[in-house]
Amino acid sequence: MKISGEHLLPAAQEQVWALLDDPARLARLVPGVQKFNIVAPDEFEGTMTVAVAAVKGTYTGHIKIDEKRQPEYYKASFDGKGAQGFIRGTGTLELEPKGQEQTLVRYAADVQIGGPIMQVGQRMLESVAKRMLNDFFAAAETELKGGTNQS
Amino acid sequence: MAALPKFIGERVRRREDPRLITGTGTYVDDIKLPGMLHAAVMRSPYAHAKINSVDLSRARNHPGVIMALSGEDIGDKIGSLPCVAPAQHVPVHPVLARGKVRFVGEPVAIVVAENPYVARDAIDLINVEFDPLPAVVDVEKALESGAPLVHEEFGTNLVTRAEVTSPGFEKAMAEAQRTLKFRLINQRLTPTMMEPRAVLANWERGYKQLTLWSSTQIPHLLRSQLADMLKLPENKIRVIAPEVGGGFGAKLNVYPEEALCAYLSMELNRPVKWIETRRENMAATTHGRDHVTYVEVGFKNDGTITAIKAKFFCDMGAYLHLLTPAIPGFTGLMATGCYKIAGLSFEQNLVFTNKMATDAYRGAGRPEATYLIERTVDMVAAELGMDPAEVRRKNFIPKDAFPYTTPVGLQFDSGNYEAALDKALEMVGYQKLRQEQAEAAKKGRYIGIGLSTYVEICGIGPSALLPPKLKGGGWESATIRIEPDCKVTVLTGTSPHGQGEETTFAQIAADAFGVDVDDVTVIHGDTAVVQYGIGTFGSRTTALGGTAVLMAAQKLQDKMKKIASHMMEVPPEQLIFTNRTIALASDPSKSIPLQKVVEAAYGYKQPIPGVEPGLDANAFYEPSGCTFPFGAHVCVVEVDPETGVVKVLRYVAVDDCGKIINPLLVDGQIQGGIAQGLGQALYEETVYDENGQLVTASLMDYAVPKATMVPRFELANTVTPTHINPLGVKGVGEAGTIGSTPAVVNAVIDALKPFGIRHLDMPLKPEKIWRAIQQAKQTMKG
Amino acid sequence: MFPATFEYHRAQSVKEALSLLKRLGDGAKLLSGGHSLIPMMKLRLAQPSHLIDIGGVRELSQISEEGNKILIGATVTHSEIASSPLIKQKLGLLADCAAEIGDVQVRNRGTIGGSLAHADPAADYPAAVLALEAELELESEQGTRTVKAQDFFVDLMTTALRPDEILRRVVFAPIPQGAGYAYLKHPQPASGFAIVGVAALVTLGKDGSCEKVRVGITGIAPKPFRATAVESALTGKKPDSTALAAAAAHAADGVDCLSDIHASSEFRAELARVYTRRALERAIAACKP
Ligand SMILES: Cc1cc2nc3c(=O)[nH]c(=O)nc-3n(C[C@H](O)[C@H](O)[C@H](O)COP(=O)(O)OP(=O)(O)OC[C@H]3O[C@@H](n4cnc5c(N)ncnc54)[C@H](O)[C@@H]3O)c2cc1C
Repeated sequence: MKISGEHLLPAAQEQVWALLDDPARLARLVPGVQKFNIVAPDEFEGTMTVAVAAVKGTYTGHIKIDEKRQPEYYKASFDGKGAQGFIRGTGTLELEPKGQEQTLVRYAADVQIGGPIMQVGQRMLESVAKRMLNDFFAAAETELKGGTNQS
Repeated sequence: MAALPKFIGERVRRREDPRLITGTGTYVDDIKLPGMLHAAVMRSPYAHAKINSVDLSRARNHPGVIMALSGEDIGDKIGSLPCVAPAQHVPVHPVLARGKVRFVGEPVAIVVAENPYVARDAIDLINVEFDPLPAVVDVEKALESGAPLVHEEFGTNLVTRAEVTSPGFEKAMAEAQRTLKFRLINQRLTPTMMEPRAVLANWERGYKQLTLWSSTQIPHLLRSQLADMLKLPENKIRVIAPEVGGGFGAKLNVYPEEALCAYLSMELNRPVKWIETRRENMAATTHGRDHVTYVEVGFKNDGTITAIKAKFFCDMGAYLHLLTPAIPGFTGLMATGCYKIAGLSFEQNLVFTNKMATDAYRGAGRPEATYLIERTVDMVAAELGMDPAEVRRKNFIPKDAFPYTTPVGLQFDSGNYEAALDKALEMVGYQKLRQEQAEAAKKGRYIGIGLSTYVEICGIGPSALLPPKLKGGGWESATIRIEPDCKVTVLTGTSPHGQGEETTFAQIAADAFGVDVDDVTVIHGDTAVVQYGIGTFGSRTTALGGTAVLMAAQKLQDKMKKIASHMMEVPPEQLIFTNRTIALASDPSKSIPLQKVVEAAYGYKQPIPGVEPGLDANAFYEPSGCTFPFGAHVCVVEVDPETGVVKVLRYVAVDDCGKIINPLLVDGQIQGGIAQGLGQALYEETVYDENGQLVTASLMDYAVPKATMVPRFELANTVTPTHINPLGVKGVGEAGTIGSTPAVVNAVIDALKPFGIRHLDMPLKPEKIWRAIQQAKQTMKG
Repeated sequence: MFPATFEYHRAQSVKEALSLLKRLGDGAKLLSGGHSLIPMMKLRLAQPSHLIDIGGVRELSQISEEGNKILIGATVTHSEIASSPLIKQKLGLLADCAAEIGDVQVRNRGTIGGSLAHADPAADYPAAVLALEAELELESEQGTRTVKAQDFFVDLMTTALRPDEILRRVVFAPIPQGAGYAYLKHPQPASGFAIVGVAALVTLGKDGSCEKVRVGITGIAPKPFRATAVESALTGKKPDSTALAAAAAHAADGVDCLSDIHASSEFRAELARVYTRRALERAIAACKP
């Protein structure tokens, strides 16, 4: 499955970068993250729960940043598994400044999903992924707005 | 008492149905033994991965779990799953993966527990470290250099390449005035029988004997193969196929769970049951078809087809199951269909991919052949602007040419292809229909008429045609006993699983002895009760098994006539069996009740010279050749150009399966067959994504046609008996599937003719048709 | 297929169900007809630790008429709705829609409350419920609130229901005399669910122009929706073929369509337009001035 899109965030590029480059802060914005550990520079482990209606699954996973070009580009690979299946893939983020106040985030991911969740839920997976992304960006917006106020 | 009728040829209702309909039959899952345990299988979620470790400790410690095993635990204690068909590269096929997994659904570990819930719970407690590898899913790309290798040891994904060219092929192709080249996909299908697989194994320690109940089509062949895998003597294994809810060829196999349950029962001294879930069934029971074919056809301007050349890429999946590499052979050999085509040349590339193995599926190679040739004929007709019926007539093997030898040496027993086509066209009102089609076109309605005239091969024999490693040949067996109360017991070596031979074989026996069909009981599917037999597949059961019944009956008739002759003091040659008596042929009023003869045989108070006591006889029948049923199908469809939806308006089928024992059952086989063939044409497709994940893993996504999705069938028969067997029967179990798929596709393509569309690959889903129409409209504009 | 362990509770009343729901918390799920929940449990995609069966709650299983409202309890089955004389007479669109769901067994077990609460993006009911502008009564221990159908469906399998709430009943205004309606569905061939389902309800004015148009669409998007662009494009217009085609062309406007092996998002959008036009045509043909 390939997912891509863009989202305009209400903050300057450096601020957005600072957020994206702070894994612990970032993890709080991802819906369902329960545990999060930094195991090495640019390498993280964690658990997250994904719930859609009655369907709920907990996944243990691993993320590694493969490439980073401050303040505009970021590439990571990830894999996670749970009783309902596994997810593996790579993703990129590109940040493009839109004036002083805004940053356009372009994301693209190539995701491989397997196991029961894929086999019986294929028609829904893309929507679930999109919804999670939307939730994430909404949380990021709030965080960035809060962040702007504080500084 | 009213005279008993003859039963052969009558629409006798299926005697197996009342118990099936009322839920009083016994399937494997209905059997419950004291102390029975339940197994569950942990399967690979990856299409291709290295297994770094399998940790069963949490599963083993789970309350209620009795045992959990990985492939390494099994080691060599269970032999490789068999592939009996010859191939260049036959990989070891372990019952549980070792080192690597090669398809989604491959068994990795097995758990045995006190109940099926706990067994299933424990599956989630198994921790396997997989190291994912790139998967190969495309049958053509699999042969490119650098493609990931399913089995490294072979250095290639090619299983076997086979080439066959008929003598005179080059000349025949040279005689063509035109040629056409095209590519056809015969997509992968999931057999989806009603009852998934099911196994119950019981090792009786005191007797050192294993009883294995399995939902199988081949109890005896399974016993032979299990004996090898488990290193047990064959007479210490009893295989029972109780009620079997369909198989369609996918249960003509030996599966890991059969050997695993047997092994676990031997280890634990308790019965072990495993019932396949539907999701497991979709992923880990053999699939069918899956060919990509490049076709070249040479023909003359008058429509005469001179030669066919085909190059096949056949997807075998990750392992070779019992007959996997043998199935495409039928496709190549039957590729000239019912036509007198002088030249045939084909190359078959059998290929490993990271998918479930393919193997026999209703028709097994012949639907692919029929699809190839029937699409080809329609392509030729379209190219020449000829009526497809005319092209067919032009090329039919004429009825006086039988027995006919095909360019690749098959001997067709009998046929009258034009008669079947004539009848079908008359039933459908072909000329009028073509006019209606033209009228409708003027109103912007897209009606299509599709023809398919097929011939297929079944009742395979003699034994030389089958692989030696099968341990079973092209023959079948029967035993008949007449019991002391004059009831008839038939033991057949075939293993019907829905086809209805408990009825048809009873008809044969009833007529032989002049008794009522209800006086006959047919027993099958138990290796401890029935003499060795081969099983039910390849539309062989009536032609081979039915003939064996007839032959056993004749042996018994001879004996009974001797006894009656002694009692009646007339020569045995003058006696016949009628109305529960043995009577004088010239004067049936001079008779002796059958019961008296039976009493004499069992009572044996006055020994009859040269006659042993008792009444039973058995026969093994091996035919001298195969039979070749045929027929003509006509499908009428309407395509909705806005949505691409295909509606089947009419379906006419004329099938010729030789002499008909029971027309009701023939109709039933044809109806089910057409439904399945139509399923392939319009709906069904086993989809793996580019990573080898199975997408059609449940019936929520794999579209089997339902009753509301098939039309009312208009059925008829022509009867062209075969000389191959004394019953004159050919076989009908697969004919409907074989004939129907191209009829439906040809109809849809015919409907799309105004758009200039010549071909679309199956399944003809609405979106595919809609897109083709959109594209055609663009092209027409541009 | 064997579900994971759970505890089963059979509620006798809504009150009891609500208190169980509150007490058992996160791990509890209501069980109605079970035809969405049980399959997911058997696949172990859902593993609730408690099931609260509301199938035996009398007060949830009634169809009634109160004043100018028709009230349908949450556990009324699809087949009851398809065959109820009252519903056939006054809410024919809903009855037609119910008759399109699944097969006989599914219709005998599945319930309207379960279907709406589950909010499968391909379920049939939501199209009709939206077109009929139904209201849903949601009850918790805090009391009852009423939510418009339009606000009930939030996202893919997500509704306005809070975890401590029960969907009690669905409230409809009867279809006005003379109005025409139709439910048209393009079924997914395997599951039978809607790839596209369009419910159309039209009232014609004295002059033959469209007075009121309601179009509910299911199947193409993460959540069912009212095609308001279609509705407004047709309202006030004479329903000739040009006007219908022009209005129906808006059926998928601004919709992020779903895509799967059965239909791409592009095709879903096209089907939505075609089925909307056809549903409107039928609805209009059925109007009685
Ligand atoms: C083979 C098959 C085919 C089907 N085909 C179709 C089809 O073509 N079209 C279609 O629309 N549907 C189809 N369905 C789904 C069917 O209509 C279901 O019955 C329906 O979606 C759910 O209703 P239920 O009563 O079975 O709910 P359940 O399965 O009991 O519950 C579903 C969910 O809703 C919650 N819930 C139930 N009742 C309430 C309530 N009163 N308040 C709050 N939450 C509640 C449950 O906790 C659960 O999460 C099909 C189902 C099957 C098995």
